[in-house]
Amino acid sequence: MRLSRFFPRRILALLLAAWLPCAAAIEEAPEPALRAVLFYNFLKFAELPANGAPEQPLSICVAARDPELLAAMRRLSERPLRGRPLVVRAYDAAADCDAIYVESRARWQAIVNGAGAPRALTVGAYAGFVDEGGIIELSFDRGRGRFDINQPAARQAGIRFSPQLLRLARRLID
Amino acid sequence: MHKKLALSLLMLCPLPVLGAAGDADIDRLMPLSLEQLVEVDVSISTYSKQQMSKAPSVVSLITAEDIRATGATNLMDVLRSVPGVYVKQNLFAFRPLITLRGAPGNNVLLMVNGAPMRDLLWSNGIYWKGLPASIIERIEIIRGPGSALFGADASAGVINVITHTAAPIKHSEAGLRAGSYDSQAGWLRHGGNWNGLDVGVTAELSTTDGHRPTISPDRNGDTGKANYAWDNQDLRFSLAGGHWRLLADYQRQDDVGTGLNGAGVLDPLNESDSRQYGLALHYDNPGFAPDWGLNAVARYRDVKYSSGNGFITLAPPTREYLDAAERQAGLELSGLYTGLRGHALRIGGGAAWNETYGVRQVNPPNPAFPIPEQSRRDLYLFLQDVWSLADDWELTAGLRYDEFNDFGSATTPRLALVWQTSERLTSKLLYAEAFRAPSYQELYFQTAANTPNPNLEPERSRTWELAFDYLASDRLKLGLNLYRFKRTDLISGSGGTFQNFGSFTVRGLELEARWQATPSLLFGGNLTLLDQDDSPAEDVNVPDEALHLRMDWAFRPRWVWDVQAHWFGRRSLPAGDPRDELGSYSLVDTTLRYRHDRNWEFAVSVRNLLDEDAWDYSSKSLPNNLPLPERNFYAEVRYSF
Repeated sequence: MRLSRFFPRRILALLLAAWLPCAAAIEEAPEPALRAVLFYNFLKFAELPANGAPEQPLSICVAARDPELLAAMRRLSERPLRGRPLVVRAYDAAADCDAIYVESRARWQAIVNGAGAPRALTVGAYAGFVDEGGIIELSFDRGRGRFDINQPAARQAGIRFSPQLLRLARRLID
Repeated sequence: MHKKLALSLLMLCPLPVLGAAGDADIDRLMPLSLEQLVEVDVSISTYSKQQMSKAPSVVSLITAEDIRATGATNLMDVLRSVPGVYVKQNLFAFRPLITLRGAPGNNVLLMVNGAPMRDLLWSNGIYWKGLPASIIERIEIIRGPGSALFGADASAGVINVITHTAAPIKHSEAGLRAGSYDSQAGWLRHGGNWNGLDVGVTAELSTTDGHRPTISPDRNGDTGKANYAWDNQDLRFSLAGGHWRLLADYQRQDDVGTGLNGAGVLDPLNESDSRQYGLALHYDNPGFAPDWGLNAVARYRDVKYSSGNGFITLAPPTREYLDAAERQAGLELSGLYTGLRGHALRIGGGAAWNETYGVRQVNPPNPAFPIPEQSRRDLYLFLQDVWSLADDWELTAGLRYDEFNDFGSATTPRLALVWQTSERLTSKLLYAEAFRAPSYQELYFQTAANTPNPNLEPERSRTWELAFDYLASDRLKLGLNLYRFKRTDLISGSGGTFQNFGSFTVRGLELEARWQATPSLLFGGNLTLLDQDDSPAEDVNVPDEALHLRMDWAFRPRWVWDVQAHWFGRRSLPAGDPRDELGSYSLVDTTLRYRHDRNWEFAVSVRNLLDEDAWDYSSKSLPNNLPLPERNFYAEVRYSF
């Protein structure tokens, strides 16, 4: 069924033109929501090691104690990625995580001291995370999201990033 | 025709309203590309709220969006709805005096961009009437002691007003407002770039006749209207580049009608004025060296007051004149060290210097009490450590030492234990000591009523608090805190000469709720209960109970309707005042806002909608108290560009 049968092209173009300014008009957003969606995009542009059937859920672990961030991250579980549902939970050393969000140096040290460097996409929210073995360091500079990528750490975890993500990194350790 | 259609479709774009619920934020952000996501700004409100929710204190944050929604036009309108705050209006010039947790204004440290606004002679200026709302980006309020970080006069709390400055100003705006009491205001806010530097400018000019309450009768038995007219100019300039920021401000109040003199005599003629300017240079570099961040600031401020055409005297009716000025300078340097595992250690120090000058007194009937010119110097050191004890536990320990050249020293410690009890509950146990510096008047200024005492000690305080923040659901946030606030070595002049004496204890409860019922409907409120010692040290005209309720409803796209109700309980009068205590009163304010498009916005606001007969304390020498403004309104238009 062709959409253009019901909506002439011009009307579709106008609808699109009307929608685009709306999308581009987002100038501000709350920090927890922006962190969660950036985290989701890191996952989107990462090729994770094949450690499960394609239909198996992706396990997202959040090592954070900020209630609003936890709530925002949990909302990601309603949005499958490449057909795989997301399961978001608080970090637990016993859990098998595909990606880990790490709030602080103390949490990262506890993770590394407990089970060694995890074989997962790690995203840290404190300055110096990539220098301490983390893969992506997410920070805010003058209110805008910025990220650094540690490629050797990613390779060690069996993760490959798309050039689209690498191109936007503020700092790329290679 | 198609252009018209495209335009009409464009008009369907949802405009941001209120603080939308979390689901809506994720929905809005999900369609964006990564390139677009890194261009989205963190909204100031949530960014700051995040920072403050982690703070080892009980805090309130009021954003520019809150201020605009509620229709507040002045800082004082905003503070009125903060738990524990009661803004008293003074008979003389209708000056606002901020009280917090039952303590008078000299226990509340008011700062603008981190610079203290106090002065030696009059605390916050003799004609100071707050700040225009258009210049405010946000207000951070620590409800509780702040001396371990900020030094003197922070026993009850700290109010830090952050103004719109370079770099954060993203939208230029011009506005006009007109309303009751022949009030008019115009303002401009602009942010831009000049030679690679961010530039910010804000300006507001306003004039009003004031609400002209009828004083019936005054101290001399005459009946008339108090002249509370005033004109205000507020100009601010900022420049930011790299790690540096330069802030400059100029404020002037002209033709300030004092209404009545301090003795309660109507003065229809007096037009006083004051002006102040300030300069501050900030250096903030979080990556100054490995594991070290560095912050430094140098400040200068000059304040001048004049009685203009003179204050009326009690008898015989003639005019007395008082002009005075003050210079203030300060320098502070601090470093944040994060090289120790689990610790964030801040160490710093500074110097502050105040000096009165240009005192001119002409007092024909009684020239006996000259104001001496004096200076005060404060040298201080502070240390604070935020220690992540475990995954869910954080301990903040701080200590500050102040050495004053006139009344001695003060050491103020603080401890704060923050426990992330569960994913939804944060618990805090706080202890802090604080102090209030003896005022210039208490130390040096002989008056008809009091003799100064240069040997006074600072007033001291100790506060214990237990606070809980609970995210009941994604849409409902609750806060509860209980505290015990004890002030000792209180300074009183009731015996003639100022002396340190006795103590005063307040136990209090503050309960807050914020419920985003739907993406377009927000309810908020707070309740304050105080249990004050039955002692002569109790501050007069402070209610033991207060309740605030607020609703914001975006009932149609582009329209937002805000309603606020404030209820204040009964207030006591000073010992020996034969009148009945001041009754409770409630005020309802409502604001309707319409955003026509990306450029134009219109609003109308009615204050004291129900025309409540409300009063503040006047003076023992008058038979009646001071009437507060009756129902009044304004309309405004804003243009963003």
